[in-house]
Amino acid sequence: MTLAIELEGLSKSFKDKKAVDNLSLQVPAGSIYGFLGPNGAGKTTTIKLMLGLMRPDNGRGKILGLDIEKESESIRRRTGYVAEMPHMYGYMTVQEIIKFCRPFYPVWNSGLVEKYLDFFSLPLKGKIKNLSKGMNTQLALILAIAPEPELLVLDEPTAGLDTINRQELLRIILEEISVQGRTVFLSSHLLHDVERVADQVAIINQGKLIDVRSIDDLKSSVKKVRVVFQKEVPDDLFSLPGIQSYSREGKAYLITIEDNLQDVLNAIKNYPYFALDIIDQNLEDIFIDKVRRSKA
Amino acid sequence: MNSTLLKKELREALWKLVLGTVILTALALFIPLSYNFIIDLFSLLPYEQLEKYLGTIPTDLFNDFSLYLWSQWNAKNLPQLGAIMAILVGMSLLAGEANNKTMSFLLTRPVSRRSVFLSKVLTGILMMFIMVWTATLLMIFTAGFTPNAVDTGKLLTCTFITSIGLFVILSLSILFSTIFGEPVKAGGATVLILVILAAASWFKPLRVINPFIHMYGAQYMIAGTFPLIPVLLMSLAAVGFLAVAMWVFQKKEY
Repeated sequence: MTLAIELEGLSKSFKDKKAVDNLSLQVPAGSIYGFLGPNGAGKTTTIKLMLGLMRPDNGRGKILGLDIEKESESIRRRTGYVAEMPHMYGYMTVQEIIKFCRPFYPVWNSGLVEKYLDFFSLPLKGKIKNLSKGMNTQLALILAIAPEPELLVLDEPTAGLDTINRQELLRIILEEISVQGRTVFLSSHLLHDVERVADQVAIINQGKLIDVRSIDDLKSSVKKVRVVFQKEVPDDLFSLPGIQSYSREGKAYLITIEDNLQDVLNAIKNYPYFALDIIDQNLEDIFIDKVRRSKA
Repeated sequence: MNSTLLKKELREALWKLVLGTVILTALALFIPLSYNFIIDLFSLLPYEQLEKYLGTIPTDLFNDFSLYLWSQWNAKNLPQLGAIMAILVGMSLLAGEANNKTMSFLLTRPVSRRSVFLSKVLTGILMMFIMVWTATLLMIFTAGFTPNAVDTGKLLTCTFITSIGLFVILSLSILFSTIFGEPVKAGGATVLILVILAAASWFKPLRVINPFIHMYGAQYMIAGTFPLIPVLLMSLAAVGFLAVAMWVFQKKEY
């Protein structure tokens, strides 16, 4: 398997706070990879380390086979990046920023630029400082995909966008990037967006990687079981492998199970019960649960 | 050197360049044009009083037009106003971009930090060069229209010496601009250092560390000796500040 991103034990601290803590990640080439985490989890710092805007305290990484510390410029030549808040030169017009960025890259797809300038109805003569947040992100996306990058890194690109703009942006990611076999690294705390497009997700909290899986695997492996027993059950029932957490109200239990559902169900069924329901989890439920547990 | 970056820097610096050139030139043109007026003004004073007011300044200053031009330009207005210009230009070269948060946009393009730094420094040097030399050449050109004799070579050499001094101030300002990432702080730190150096030069043994003393070119204008060692030391200091600034910029995180 060819890897587009390979991070090994990456760490970065700011004063006493560990923003990224021994993070290891492998992103297969050609995948759409969701990088999930609450605000302040270390997503942006990880991206900045990948793109050479920051240097790791420890660890190493390769992007498209290139060392993140030694070959940063080559990485950026082959990587498109959209920041959460793209701060471009406000005094330039849309046309001027395109003209400014073009000479930096060996390849520039002018047809693609024209197509999406027209699609988003971005004013060529309009100053960047007068563009809305949505238009700024759209322009940043055009600038990121115009050099036909092998890897597109998006840091919270849909944050602050309205529903229509979010859907359009995600559609472009699918149509223009993913279909052509390029890799997309999508950092977000908006689970629905990631769920819609990503093949795999990594969940990060407080700088640490909590889980890495395909979305289907994650959703099928994590379930909640609601069971109302007829009488008291021994506590060691809840220490079975796979039980991540449980809460109790009287004889009713809500149990979060990961990876070992059948064995846990068999064990539960050994005790008489009034009701037993298996509740499917969406990505948001799983994410919240995992983040809460990582904090605990 | 990346021409795209250089064009961007020059565009961003254009209004400062135009404003700085206009102010310095206006001041430079005023000097030769006001010569006769100043002479007439002072001739109203008795010689004893003139000596009292001018102190150690040679009283034949007003009989030598070139010496007058130098005293008002290289020994007064150019170092003072030029230093302000150098600080204003240098303090925002890197810090301005960091402060506007456009630095991370720029540094995520496939461009080396070295190219970014050099294009900014070159822009700063070019701006100072254009401002200082446009004003100086126009002053000398205007002086040529007066009936007084002008020692163009000496004035140009003195302006070269002053330019080296301004290069030191510009470099110091760029260094702080890189360290602080905030233009006002960078400008403030540069002013503070210059004030400390100027204050230290009240003590005779420490005069040597004050760049203003050297950048007047008095030794050359009055005694005719080119201050080779001070010029070399100022050049070395400026290059040293820039080398440290580039090192800081290479390590800086955005």
